[in-house]
Amino acid sequence: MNLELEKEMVRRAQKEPGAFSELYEYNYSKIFGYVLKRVANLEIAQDITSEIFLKSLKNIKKFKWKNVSFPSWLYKIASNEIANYFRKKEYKAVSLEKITEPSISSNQLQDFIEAEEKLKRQKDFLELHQKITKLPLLYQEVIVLRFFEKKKIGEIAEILGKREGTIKSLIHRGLEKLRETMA
Amino acid sequence: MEIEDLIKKLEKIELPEIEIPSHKEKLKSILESQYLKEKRGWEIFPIWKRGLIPAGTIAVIIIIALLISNLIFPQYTLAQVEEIAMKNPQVKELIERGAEIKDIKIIKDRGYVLLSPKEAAFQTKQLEEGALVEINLKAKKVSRIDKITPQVSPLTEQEKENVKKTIEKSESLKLGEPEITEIKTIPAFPQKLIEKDKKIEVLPEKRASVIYKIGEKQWEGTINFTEEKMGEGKVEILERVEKK
Repeated sequence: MNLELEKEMVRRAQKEPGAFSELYEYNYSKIFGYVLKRVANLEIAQDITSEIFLKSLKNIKKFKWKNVSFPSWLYKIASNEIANYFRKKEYKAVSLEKITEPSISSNQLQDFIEAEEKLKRQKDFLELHQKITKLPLLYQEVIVLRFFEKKKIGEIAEILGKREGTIKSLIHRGLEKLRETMA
Repeated sequence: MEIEDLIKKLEKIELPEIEIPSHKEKLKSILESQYLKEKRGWEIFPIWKRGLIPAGTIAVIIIIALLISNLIFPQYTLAQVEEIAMKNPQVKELIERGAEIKDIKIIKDRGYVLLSPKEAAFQTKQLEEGALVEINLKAKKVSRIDKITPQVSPLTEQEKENVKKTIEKSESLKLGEPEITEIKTIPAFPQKLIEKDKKIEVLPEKRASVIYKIGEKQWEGTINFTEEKMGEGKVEILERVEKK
């Protein structure tokens, strides 16, 4: 999506629920995918993703297009939420079950079981993920954003609010440390 | 392992491209209802933020107003209204059959609860009626229940035009230029209550189904009109499904 259209969608989303839903539709998969690659746990990924979008809704009115684009802003919220999870190792997000009736339909259960089966089959990823999570959080972030999310250095700098040079050295040091854990 | 080999490994690893559609849908519907709650806050907050009235003055005014109104009128809360309604056997039965509370309002010593079928319950014909429940707050009981049926109101030419524009504007951002083949109104249950001249009124809901093509694929979108948006000539897309 080009920048102008994205800006227009955000402007509309600050006034209309329908437009916010469009932004959500457009960004959900990216954000859920990023969270899942960071935590490698479907249940936690669902909770964190819910929290990210609820926070973005709470703050959409304050969002101004300055140095950060809307998707980068979502990634920024995601990084903070994931950091919270890793710090506490017990995520206290607003679970959807607490907002709505605590019931799981057979569809939801089926969806979840299928997704879990798919995740279990990604053995190489899970093995590598275990090694990545042994690194300090900042290295985890830059490695996942660079190699799994295929983000450019400039985009990572935008998301994490750091200079491009800092990101480059973080990636380099992160890779060094990851190599050590794999030795 | 050399750094270059590690980079290659990271770049080539098969990543989990997984989605959980039911979570996506559930979160979407929650965000839509939360949006309206947040929006109410946005409409009040800017006055404080701009500093048009000093915050301290507002706080004093609010405290005095609350004290006076508490002495004159007992304060009933929406939660109390809901609690009383939920004790009524007819309301309980409607909820069990697939209805949900869409709106609650209080006018003097009367509470009003609007019940409409959940989308799934209505689509599967599990429940085809809603209700407007009136509660006597002094007596703490339900005083009246009026049945509500879905409404189908024809679309004006202007509304059809707005639907077309909305679909074109929204879809061309994502999938491509849509070609609209059909627009028709569909039954809809009210979602909101309004107060008019100290009386409660059910705000009519108007929905349309739009069938359109984008390339080879055919889609069906559900469009919502609300009274406030109709005035501005605006509509919103509630959902979009691929038509087989």
